[in-house]
Amino acid sequence: MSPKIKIEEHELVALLKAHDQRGIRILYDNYSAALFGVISRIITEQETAEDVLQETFIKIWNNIGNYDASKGRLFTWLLNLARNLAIDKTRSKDFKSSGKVRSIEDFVHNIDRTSNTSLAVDHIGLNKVLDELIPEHRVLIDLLYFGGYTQAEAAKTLDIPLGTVKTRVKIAMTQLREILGVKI
Amino acid sequence: MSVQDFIASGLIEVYVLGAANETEQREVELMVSRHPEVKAALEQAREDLESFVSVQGTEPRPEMRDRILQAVENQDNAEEKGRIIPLNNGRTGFAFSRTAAAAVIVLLLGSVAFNLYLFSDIRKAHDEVNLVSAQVKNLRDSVKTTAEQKQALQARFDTMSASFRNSMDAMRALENPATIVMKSVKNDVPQAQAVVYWCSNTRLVCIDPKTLPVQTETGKDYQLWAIVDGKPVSVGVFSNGTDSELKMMRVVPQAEAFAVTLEKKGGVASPEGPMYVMAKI
Repeated sequence: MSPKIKIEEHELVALLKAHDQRGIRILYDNYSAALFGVISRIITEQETAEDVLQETFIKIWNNIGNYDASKGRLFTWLLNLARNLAIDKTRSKDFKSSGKVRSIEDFVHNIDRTSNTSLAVDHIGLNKVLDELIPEHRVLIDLLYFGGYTQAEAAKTLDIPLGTVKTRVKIAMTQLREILGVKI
Repeated sequence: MSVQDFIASGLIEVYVLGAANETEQREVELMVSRHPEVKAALEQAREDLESFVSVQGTEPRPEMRDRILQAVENQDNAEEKGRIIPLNNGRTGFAFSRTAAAAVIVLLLGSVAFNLYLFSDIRKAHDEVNLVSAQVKNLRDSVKTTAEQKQALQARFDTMSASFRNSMDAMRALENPATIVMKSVKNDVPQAQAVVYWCSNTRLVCIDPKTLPVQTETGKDYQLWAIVDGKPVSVGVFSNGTDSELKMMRVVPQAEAFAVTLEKKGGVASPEGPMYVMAKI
């Protein structure tokens, strides 16, 4: 991974809003791995995932004017943009017909595989760390966030009552915080 | 729900994961705007998710960097085509020479010629303005005509509604009417027919002009007569315009026959005009 360039977020935003090419380069170097991580969790097929990554950067460049720092951090905005584009792609007609839509089994069994491919962090044994998450919690986060499932769809897929989705998400996120907080 | 319960519910986390429905989204946004604790919980959940995502980052292939930066740059180039490029700043200060003077004269002459050309152009433009204003006037006239047509249509509509109401009233007043078809007794209009509806209980008479010839000359009315004891008794006048309508006349206790004559407008005491149709009962 390219070394991250130290820059204050508001400076980066200012560069981007001014349509300064330096801004998009810094953005790419600092955020492409995280964004591509999300996209490739949603779309496993590499070529399509790369196309979506490109679309994401073009959309960031064209829509940076809509970003409002008072509503949240830049990273939040970037992640939402990448996630929405990727999920929209999985819902598009040609994508569905190509059979690239991920199944629940993908989410359950590919945890090791995805986290093995060139991690953006140098923390050793992160797999293990994430595996500490109780699998049923992990899969719920995966379905909702990376799968774009609604709560009802997730409940149906996991065969749990709809009413327990929120409670489980709460537990999962709390657990996540503990793991990440201690190990990173 | 208390703020603590709201924070414990897991809705904030579901919201952060992008899985809240529209109602839930509004709920979270409302709570965030009202309670700093909720806002803090939301920030916390976001940070947790973002570190979760960050540690799972995947470096794209190295060649992607150039490809994407190039694609972004192309976006800008496409945009720039529409941008206005400023003219070179004119250099100030110049030496005045004969050549320059000559050039100025040439320019002046050129300018005169250009002005003449402009003048003819302005005349052309002027003609065009005239043409356009004539067209505008035409349009305005036609708008006026349309307004008049609308008024005429409205009047006609009002007439028809009134006539429809009359017919409805007549229909309602009639109960189990006897239908008396009066046939032509006039040689030049053998097809003429009119119908009298005679209500069995109220003895009210209604007339339907049917195929009586439509009156073209003004100052005339049809008059309906009931023949009682061999004498014609006026039941009333009616007209037969283009909107043939059922008309309520008046109560006729008894009659041996009905007949229709054409009389001067308003009717007459005893028949004078030609008889059109008649029916014996």
